[in-house]
Amino acid sequence: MGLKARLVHLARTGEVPVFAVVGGGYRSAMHQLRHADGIRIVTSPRHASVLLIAGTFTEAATETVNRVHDQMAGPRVTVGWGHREPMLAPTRANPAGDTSEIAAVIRRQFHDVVTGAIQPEPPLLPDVDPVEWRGVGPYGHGGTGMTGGTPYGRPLALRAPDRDGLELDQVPVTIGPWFAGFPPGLALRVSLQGDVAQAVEVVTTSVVSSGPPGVFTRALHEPTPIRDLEMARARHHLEWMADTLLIAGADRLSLRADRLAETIQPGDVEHVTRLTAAARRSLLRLMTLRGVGVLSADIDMVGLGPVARAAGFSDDRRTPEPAYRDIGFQPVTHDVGDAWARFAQRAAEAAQAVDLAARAGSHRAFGSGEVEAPDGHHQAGETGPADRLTSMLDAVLPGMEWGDLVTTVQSLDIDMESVFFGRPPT
Amino acid sequence: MVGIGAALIVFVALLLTVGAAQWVWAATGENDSTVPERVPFAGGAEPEFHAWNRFHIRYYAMALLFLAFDMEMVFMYPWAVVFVRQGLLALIEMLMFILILVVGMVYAWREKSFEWD
Repeated sequence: MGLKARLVHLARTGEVPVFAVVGGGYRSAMHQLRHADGIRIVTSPRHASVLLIAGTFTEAATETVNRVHDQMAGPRVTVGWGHREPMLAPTRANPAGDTSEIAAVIRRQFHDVVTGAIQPEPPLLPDVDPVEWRGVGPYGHGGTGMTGGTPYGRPLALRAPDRDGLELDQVPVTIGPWFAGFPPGLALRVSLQGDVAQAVEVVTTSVVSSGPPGVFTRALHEPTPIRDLEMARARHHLEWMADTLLIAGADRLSLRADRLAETIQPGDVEHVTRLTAAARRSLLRLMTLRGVGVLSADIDMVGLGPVARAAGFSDDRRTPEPAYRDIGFQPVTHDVGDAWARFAQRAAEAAQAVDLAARAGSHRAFGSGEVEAPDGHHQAGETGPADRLTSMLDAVLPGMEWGDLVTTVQSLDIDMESVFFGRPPT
Repeated sequence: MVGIGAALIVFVALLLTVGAAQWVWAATGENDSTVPERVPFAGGAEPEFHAWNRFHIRYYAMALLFLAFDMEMVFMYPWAVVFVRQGLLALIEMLMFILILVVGMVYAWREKSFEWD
């Protein structure tokens, strides 16, 4: 058995590394796929052999998805999951089924491509240098002088004063829309000085399109059972907690949150509080969340749901609803308003939601054009909280170190599917 | 002769290592990657600027202080030997030495060198 054959055998028997590009309607499904057998969701295409394109996108996503495709190490294969027009890249298979079906498809395609049963995919983008630079200048390094060139066709960093009054380099870098630390679809152009973000700009190209309407969208127009609303809320918050725990490096707790989101039933308050206690006991709070991403007092937070309530505003559209009053709903709040408060807030709201769902009986609520969704107040025909959160990023994030910036963006729970900011009218 | 033998062993070991690396490269390596394949991953976006840049190492004041106290520890090993013979006198001398360093640390503290920002 040659070396290559041995390596193929090792690859074939291990977990399948999958990089996922997640569009409309598939964020929740991706959380379930994370604990499927034989699948490992990785955070960089460099570690992946399978590119999974899940859900719906806009045409504008094509270029970035093709680039991610080419950045995967070969042999590589692309699989769609409920992926609809516009097709971003040729896919080998495109099932629309549940988690176990897509996991089986991914494992089979991976097996076929590493054993050579199917041809690995060629690159999608043309092999051209962004700028002609080789051989230019006295040393062939792309220009004149020591820093005068454009090596690899790219100019060198700009200079700007830093917070100590020194003139240091500042590199504008666009991160996203498929960076694992940001909500899928969000791209930020960050001017980095070392690891400090000196300026932040939201890239206003919408790449994900909205998936099928969820229970909260339906609740805008018809009275909806509180039981359904609150279970959807609990699941949403648990999945959000899983994302936060994953970014903080608590992988096992994150998987536990995902499993709980999948299996939770009305009345399972105990499960949620135990998970929260485990997160509290871990060093998560001290190391990464406390004191990070405090929103200043001059930001209008009314309608921003858990973000506002974590900062002490008792602002909740469920309060005036008679059905919620009947089952004794009282909004939970935290103070401080940092990333830890937002974590504790959503954990408390998830526990409250499963409790409310158990006591809701046949009560129905909303239906008159507004609803309190997990990310805040939605009104029919108006832009939602995600638009407001996105447009405040350029004011909130500058001055933060990179790790704090990622934590803060994650703690705001921005749903790019519902962002209209920069989206062409449909 | 022993020296030449050892050098030969090292030389042969090096040759074998290079040969093994070459064989692994030839057996597995593919270096026909295209430009988009070589671009660093930034979530799907294209880098505009070259990554080479100069930034402020914020821990440098702390690193210098660490070095000062690290060297002090180096002096303490021979001192421990002398201390057995000299007794109290050696202790006083070492206390004076540490005191000088502590003055430096108090100064750094006053200058807020220990604050992470």
